[in-house]
Order: sequence, then C-alpha cells, then structure tokens
Amino acid sequence: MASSSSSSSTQVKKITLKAADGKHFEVEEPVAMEMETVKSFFVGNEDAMKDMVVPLLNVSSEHMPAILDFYRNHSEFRKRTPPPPAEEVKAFNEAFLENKSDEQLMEMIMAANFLNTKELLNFLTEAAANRIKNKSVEYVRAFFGIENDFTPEEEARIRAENEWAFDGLDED
Amino acid sequence: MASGAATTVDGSVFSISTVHPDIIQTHILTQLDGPTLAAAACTSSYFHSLTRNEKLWQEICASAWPSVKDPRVQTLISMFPSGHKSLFSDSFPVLDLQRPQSKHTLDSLPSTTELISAVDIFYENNLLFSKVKETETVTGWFQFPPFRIDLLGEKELVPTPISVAGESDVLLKQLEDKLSLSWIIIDSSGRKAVNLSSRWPVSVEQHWLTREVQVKYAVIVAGDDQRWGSFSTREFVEFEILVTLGGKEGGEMYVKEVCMQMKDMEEKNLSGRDSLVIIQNCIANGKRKQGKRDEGKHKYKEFRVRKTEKKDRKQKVERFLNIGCFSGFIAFCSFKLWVMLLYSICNYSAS
Repeated sequence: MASSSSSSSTQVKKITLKAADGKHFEVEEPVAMEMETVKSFFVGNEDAMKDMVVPLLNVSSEHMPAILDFYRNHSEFRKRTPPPPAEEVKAFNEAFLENKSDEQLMEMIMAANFLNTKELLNFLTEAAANRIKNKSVEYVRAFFGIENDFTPEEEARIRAENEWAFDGLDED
Repeated sequence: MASGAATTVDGSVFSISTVHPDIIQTHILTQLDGPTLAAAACTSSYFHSLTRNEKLWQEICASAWPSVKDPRVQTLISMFPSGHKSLFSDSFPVLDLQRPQSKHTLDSLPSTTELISAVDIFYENNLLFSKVKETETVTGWFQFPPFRIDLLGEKELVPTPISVAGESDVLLKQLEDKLSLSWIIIDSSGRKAVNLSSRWPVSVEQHWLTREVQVKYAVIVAGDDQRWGSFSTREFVEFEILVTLGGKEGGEMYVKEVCMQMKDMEEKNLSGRDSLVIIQNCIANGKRKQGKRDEGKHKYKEFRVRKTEKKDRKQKVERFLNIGCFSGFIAFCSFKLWVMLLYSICNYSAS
C-alpha cells in the first residue's frame, strides 16, 4: 500500500501521514489515533508504527493543519478535569469555522468521513446544517452544488407542496 | 480499493466538489429542521427522494410534539398521504383562513365521528405537559352544548418549574415569553391535521382575587356566516385556548386547567355542531404559512378592534331601531284608538 516509506520519526512516537497531494505531516501518536482510519492501519501491525507513512487518500494538505488542530484541542478538552467551560469549547469551535468557505467546509466533511472520526464529522455536518437553515431553495442548491433536474412543471408542483416553508426565509 | 485509489490520486490535483450522498442523508439531513428539509426537497429529484424518508420526518415531528408519539396518533398519521411529512406541513405552519367559504364547500365536508387532540405545552423548550384526547362528535352531548374540550380532569394538576416569587408583572412577562402551546387536531376521517394554537400567548392575565393566572392562545379564522358581511356575528370566529395556572407565593406554579372553546364576535360560545364545521373547514381549506412569533398576538388585537367596532355599530343600529319601534308603537296606538272610537260611534248610532 504505502510503498515509499522515506520519512523517519526519531521523536517519541510520531506518525507520518501523507495527504492526498503528497505532502507529509508528522503527528504525535495519540493525535493520529483519534482518526479511526489511521488507527485501523496499525491494528495487528504494531511493528509498522515506527517508520511507516500512512497515506490519507481523501484529505487535502490544505485542511490537515486545521483538522489536526481540532483533534489536539478536543482531546485535550476531553481529558481535562474539571471539564472546560462550554464557552471555551464554543469559542474554539467558532474560531475553527470562521473564514471557512462552504466549499472548504464540504471538503473537510469528506475528509472527516474518510478519517472516520465521529466527533469531527458531527461537528462539521452540524455546521453545514446551520449554514442552510432558513435559506432559499436556490441557496441550498448552490451550497451542495446540486443540479436542478426538475421540469418547470414538476418544480412548480413540488414548490406548491412545500409553499408553507418559504415565507420568512433569511436573506441568502 | 485503497491501492487503486492511491495510484490515481498520487501526485494528481486533489479536488472534491460534492459530498457523498450518504453523508448528506445520514449526517446533514438529520440535523435540519422541517422548513429547511422542505426547501431541500425542492432542489432536485434526488434530494426530493432523500427527503421523503419517513423516519426523518418522524424524528422532526416527535421532537416538536412529543404527544404525536402516542400510538393512537401514530395510527392516524400512517393513513396521511405522506405520513409524518403531511402531519408536519399541516400542523407546523400557522393556520391562515381569512376568506369566507361558500355554503357549498361547508356542506360538502366529510362527516367525521371523532376529533383527536394532541397537545404539548413547553416552558423554555422543556416539555411541561403532553396529552392526547379523543372527542366524539356524533351524539347530542357534543353537538348541542357549547363546544369545549377540557384536557385535565377536575382534580388533576400538572406541576411546573415556574416559581411564584417577586413582582407579579415579572411573572406574567416570563409566562408570555416562555410558555408555548401547540394544539394539533386530527380529523379521524380526513387524513389531515391542523394546529389551532397561536403557539405563543396572546394575553396573560392574573385574577385580582384568586391570583390565578390565565394564559390565552387564540387563532382567528373566517366563520361560517358571511352573508351579512360585517353585520354577521360570525364573520370571524376565535379558537380560544385557556391555560389556568395556580400556585402559592414562594412555591411553584401548577397547571390546573387547559381547555379549548370557540367564540363568535359577540363572545358567544359556538355549539359543538357549528364548531365542528369550522374546524373541518380549517383542516381542509385553511392555508398554512410560516408565521412570525408576534403575528398571532397582532391578529388577536385586530380581532378585538373589529369586535369593538361591531359592538358600536350594533348599538347604533339598536338605538335607531328603538326609536323606530317607539314611533311605530305610538302610531299603532293612535290607530287603535281611532278604530275603537269609530267602532263605538257605530255601535252607538246603531243602538
């Protein structure tokens, strides 16, 4: 699978991850193990840990730093006693989403799905759901990149069925 | 699969434009509220089919109205054209029925044997009370007396976390802001539902002596009698839901009464039979729209102004009629006197 294992991890337990575009990231083991996909890579293959590069086929290097940052912070939140105040977690999450375009958000959802981490996936999909709440049909279409394949008659009929939902929408 | 993908991805430009459908279905659609899910249904045929998932709507309905989880209600919903989606689009938006219906439409309504009420009261998003009640609509017990559905038994009390302390103005304001009520009515024959509550209170009043608080929810709809226009006392009618709360100073409030009635513009109660026609009309023909929070209160105020205007007009007419009657009476009396006089003259001359 990962044929080129060129990276060396001299530090205590670091794992090298390779993003889809070939860039390498050295990550502390506990952080890397937050990702089920990486974890499953090593199950029953403990010897491999030291010098193996884990290829992450669906994760662009653009999003890796942010995603790793999320894991680091959230695992720290989970371990801390007493648990951190809700405001602190909220502030981190809000800062995380700030300046992220819809497209970037979608890409990260795909990444979280590939990495198989429930916490990140739930967090990102909830953010996506919030972004389309109370928005027009056109907005939702653009958000998901959906192509409208209804005939005008079909669309008119379906819109009429759901007419009640369309007043009081937010500005797009 | 992984190795195959690795060869193609390795070194090539990485891009993702669309999210996997299963992520959309299992992670995003499940987090949407009803109106957004309805908007998503209109985007494409694929999304339309995804959003027809009965479970999605079932979850949305159950979290909005825990009462609909009742097996009796579930059986009725299973007969709705689109199951829980129909229930939601019938009952979530605000009822809007301002235009009169023709006599023909009213006569052609299906005959129903039972109305099922599914009621939920929330205080600050926490469920206080949830109840399903069946009301038969066939016997004279329902048809002739004033229409009234009571949800609580005579000595039944529902505890609340609302404490009675401090200024009563503050308490009333608190209730107005936080106590919401939904009253869904399902017609056992019609496979449709309607919500007859304004969701948020239209008025909150405290009785000066008993200190009991009455929270009122009201929906105003076109009545069944539009023939005389603004002279009709049933040009518009009011569904009135009253929640009565009691409680001692320092303790917590409890709900002691939850009831629905229907009143005309002179505040007279409508009979069961008349109310049933209007309820069925609302279910079948009422438009549904996504109302703003203060809309119910605003409409209620308008209705009150209309009622006062009608009362004034009626008084004027009555005054006019009184004068008319009086002069008529005088005319009649003088005529009778004249006849009697003539009669006695004739009698006298005959003898």
